[in-house]
Amino acid sequence: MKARKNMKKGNVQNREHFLSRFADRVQEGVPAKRENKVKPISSIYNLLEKESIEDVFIGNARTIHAETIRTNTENLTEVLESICENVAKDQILSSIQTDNEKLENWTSKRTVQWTPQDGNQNVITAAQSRIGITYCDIALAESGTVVLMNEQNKGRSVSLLPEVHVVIIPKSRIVPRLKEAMEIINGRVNRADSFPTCVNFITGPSNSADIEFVLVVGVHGPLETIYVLVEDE
Amino acid sequence: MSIKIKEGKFKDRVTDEMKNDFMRKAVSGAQDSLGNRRLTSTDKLGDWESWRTAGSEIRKHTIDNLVHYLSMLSEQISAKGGHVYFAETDEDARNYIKEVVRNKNATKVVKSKSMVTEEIGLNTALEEIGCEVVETDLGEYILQVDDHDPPSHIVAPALHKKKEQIRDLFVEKLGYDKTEDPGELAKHARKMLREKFLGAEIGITGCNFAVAETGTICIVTNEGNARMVTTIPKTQITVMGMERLVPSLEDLDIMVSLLTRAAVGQPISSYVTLLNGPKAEEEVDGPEDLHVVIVDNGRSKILGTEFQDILNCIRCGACLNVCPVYRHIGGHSYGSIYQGPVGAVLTPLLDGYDDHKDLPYASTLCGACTDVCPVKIPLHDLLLKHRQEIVEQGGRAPISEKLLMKAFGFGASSGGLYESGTKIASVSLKMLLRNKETISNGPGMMKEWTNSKEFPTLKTSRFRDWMSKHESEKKHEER
Repeated sequence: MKARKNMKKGNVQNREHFLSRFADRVQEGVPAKRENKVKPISSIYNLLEKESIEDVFIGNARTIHAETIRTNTENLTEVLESICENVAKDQILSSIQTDNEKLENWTSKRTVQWTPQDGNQNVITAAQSRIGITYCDIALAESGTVVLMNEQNKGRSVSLLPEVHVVIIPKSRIVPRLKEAMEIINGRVNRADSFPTCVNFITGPSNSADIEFVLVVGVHGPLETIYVLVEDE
Repeated sequence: MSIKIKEGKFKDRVTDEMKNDFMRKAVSGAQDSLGNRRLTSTDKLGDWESWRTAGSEIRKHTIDNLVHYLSMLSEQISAKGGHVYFAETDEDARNYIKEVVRNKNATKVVKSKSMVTEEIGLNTALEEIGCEVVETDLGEYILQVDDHDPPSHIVAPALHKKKEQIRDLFVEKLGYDKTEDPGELAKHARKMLREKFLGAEIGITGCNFAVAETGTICIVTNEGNARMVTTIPKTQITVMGMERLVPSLEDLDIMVSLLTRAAVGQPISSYVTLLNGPKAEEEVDGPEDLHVVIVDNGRSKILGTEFQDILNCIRCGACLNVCPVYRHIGGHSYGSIYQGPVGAVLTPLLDGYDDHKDLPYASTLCGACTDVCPVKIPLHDLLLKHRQEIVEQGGRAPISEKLLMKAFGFGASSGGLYESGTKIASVSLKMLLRNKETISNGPGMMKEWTNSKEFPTLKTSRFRDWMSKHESEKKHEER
């Protein structure tokens, strides 16, 4: 990722007066480094001693209405092709950064690729696409979640506007839970050039239970989510 | 809308709401289903108590060091190119946001769910300057289309509405021509709102947690509407209560793990979005401009008082989902945008006792709310403290309680009166029995009880008499 260009500091208004009104009712100065007295531990780690991390991931993904297709690097494009069967090229938008040449060839031939130079046209394309294909940065076994760190070549709209969201998940990127993902993101904090402006934790298709508590799958985001889990080790 | 959503007396609202059979069924159904889901998800996580303890420590530490963390947060947001405005009052917040909107010459606003924007009456303020403001959370959207019907649950705002009512509403207002099936209704809302998202100039969001160390805004949703609001419009305004932050991303893991389980029994919601400043220049989507408005509006008055723990609240709604009083009277009875036990504690603190002095009495003090709270706020203790406060301030306790206490004080202070009063009690109750074991239609103050349940009759012998008889029998045996 490149450094953010021409970054200008934002304004902060009315802070000093705001804080001075109650400064005498809270602690003064910088708090000592705090450690939680109790360190809560998820039972996912016990489970992972018995089951493989990908099986746990797939099982949890199923409960949130995300179907997982397992494949390997070699057959990945065939799997994607079968998902996209009968869908025209301009109906498929992808934002994938990969050094997998076969995948690169397939996406350039078969999909419209997210192209920062084209500006807002990308968003218009996303809104008209049936399928959006992304490549996840991290996946969480505990909740069947994929994590997308958005940047110029990986637009936010790809995982949001199309009706179907297809996520490619390299097996090596699955971690036990949120904790590990936060550690990875935190590891980038001090590198201004690589701290993403937007990180999305996505767990299946959008849903709502706002009407009579009946679960409706597919509200504002995708109506359907397909995970493609790739053996990469 | 502001904090207060209904005029009139608490008792009248309760009487009205209790007649709404659908609402009562919907609320009890939601409580049962959310309760089961919460338990399943917390069991699966394991060791829920230590998660609660950690969550409670994080929140307490943050609030205790609020000046430090708010300074840090605003520095970090600003370093990433976002603007921060500290709003002391609701009016300050409205004025700042109106100014941002005016400077953009914008009129099309989309909003994701935010309680604090309800609290400060933001929608009306923006409508007054010519904006179209569209709520995009499905529940909030339904309420907005229904001429701003107030929310009845902090997480599921349209819980009180029947699907048939929503269908009729959509037919009347949105050109809908299908059935009352929730899936079809949601699909129609999706279509209507998709257009609004794509044309919006300003996106307004709430904030579940802001992370001080990184300047991150974390938004938790299931529908994906907050993602729309933070992806399409060129300007994003995030409004947050001044207490809604955590120190670090490590802490955020614990808070999100607690929130989604306590609120809806999910290990995580469909979308957890972390926003670090506006989009980078070379990025295509996301806001070019980000404004974060940090709102006090009465919160700082709570700091350093015995009510401070309420600032630890993460708005999960778990206390509503276990409260026996909420179960029967529903959300609208509270007359506040914040309902249930948390609403009964928070509303009088933010908006004063004058309009909300009855709320601390809308509790059986059973403590279920305290037991379920993911950050261990002693809610029922705080309700009790409110009652003490109300009595100490004088003249504010409900009339029935005052009369009762006065009568008891008068009766109990004189031996003779107490003696004869307690003797008469069982005789006078007998007159109300009408050949039954229990009383179903009591007079005066007793009506409050007998309206909803039977009143048991008193034994003809008094405890005091039984005790002295028992004592003398015991002495007799010992001899």
